[in-house]
Amino acid sequence: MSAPVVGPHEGLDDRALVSLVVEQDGQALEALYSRYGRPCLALARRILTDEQFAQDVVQEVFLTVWRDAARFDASRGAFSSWLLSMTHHKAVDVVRREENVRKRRASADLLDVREDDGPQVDEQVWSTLRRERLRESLQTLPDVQREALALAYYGGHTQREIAQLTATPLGTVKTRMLAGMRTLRGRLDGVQGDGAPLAEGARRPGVRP
Amino acid sequence: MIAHEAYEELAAGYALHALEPEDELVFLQHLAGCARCERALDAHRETAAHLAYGAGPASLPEGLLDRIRASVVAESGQDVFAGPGAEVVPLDVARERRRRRVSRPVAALAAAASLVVVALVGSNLALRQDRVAQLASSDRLAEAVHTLEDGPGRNVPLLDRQRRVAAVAVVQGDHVSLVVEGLAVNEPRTTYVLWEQARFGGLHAIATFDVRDGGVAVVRDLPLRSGSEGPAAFAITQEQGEAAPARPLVAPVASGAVQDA
Repeated sequence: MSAPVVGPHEGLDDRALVSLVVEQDGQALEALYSRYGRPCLALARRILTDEQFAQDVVQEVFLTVWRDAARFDASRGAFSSWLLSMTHHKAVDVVRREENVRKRRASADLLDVREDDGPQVDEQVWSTLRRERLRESLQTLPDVQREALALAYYGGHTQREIAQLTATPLGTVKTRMLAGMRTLRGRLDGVQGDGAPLAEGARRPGVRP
Repeated sequence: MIAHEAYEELAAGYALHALEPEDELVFLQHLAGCARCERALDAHRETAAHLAYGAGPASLPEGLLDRIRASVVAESGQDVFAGPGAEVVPLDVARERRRRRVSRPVAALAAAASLVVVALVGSNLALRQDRVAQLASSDRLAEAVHTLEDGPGRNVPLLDRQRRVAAVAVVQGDHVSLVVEGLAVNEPRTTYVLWEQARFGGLHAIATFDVRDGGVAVVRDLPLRSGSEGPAAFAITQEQGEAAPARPLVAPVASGAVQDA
């Protein structure tokens, strides 16, 4: 297990770190990896169910951050959202390309919010709180909406594939997906979307102004 | 006419990377001119990021950071992971510094990008609505660029509201050239603006151009701003004045999504 990176940038918020990456500061990239490498890898693992593919995706994501940090537009959302969207997109690209990866997964396996498939000692309190809040919010959704979101997000399925998998008209799948996203947004509104995850016992560093 | 709720459904699907290619094309064409859908998409992306935390905890494996460092050093040609911390500057200042350092200034490039009116005599293309005709006409337009460039590029047909090919963007590496045939001559005191929609970023004006009597406008060698991910879509608007506004102020006259290779 890698030790968290401790460096001169540890207390900086995401925007400051991204600015430093734009300035070609490798230690700032390390700090972002220390902060977000875990959720990125967890997401890639969940979608791909293949450790090597997942690590390849995370490596590619952080190399893309290095190349293209200047493209991050803070006016359009949190850095973590940009990063995780990129991770999701790259992982979904791989799972659609590698059919054998997809075949290994059981659909039912996609539907849970996972609690403990990694060592808790290395988990961050802040991520755990977010996960608990997400689980609570997902449980308020009708089953069919939760299923549509899980098959799309964690399964990497397109809307048409979900329609076939669930024997549901395509238009209904689209409607369920939008309704689910709107409800989730309302439930999760106010959950901090950016900044450093808390190490246990640490003071939360400054986040977006 | 598609009801706007349908685009909002597509926005949710797009944020989840769950659209079929044809739906993605429809949505990106609409997105280029719809601030409401852009806001909705940003909100859906924030929501989707919350879903990422449902994937469970993970510990970082030994060696992954080293692999990332190695790939960055290989690309940078120097050890950027050593040394003291750098000065913290505002993001826009950092972005501008890097733009000056690693590429030519956009403003100078925009000025240097040659706006060439090529007289393609007798190239009155019979534009039809079917896809085959669209591709055929876009190929013909693209030939105009390919004859001027070093190698082949990726053609992105930009369709007008009648679904005819009005222009073709030819993406070559980190640059794009645009061939226009099918747009009306500029109205007085207006300019056409070419917009690039980045896959994970915003919408950027990358060129302004005019369409004059009886010619095909070719705008060459425009630097893309979407970086290594490449552009997701292009759109053309006709804006008042001679400069590009920060955001499109009118609906696109033509647009097209970049299809995955």
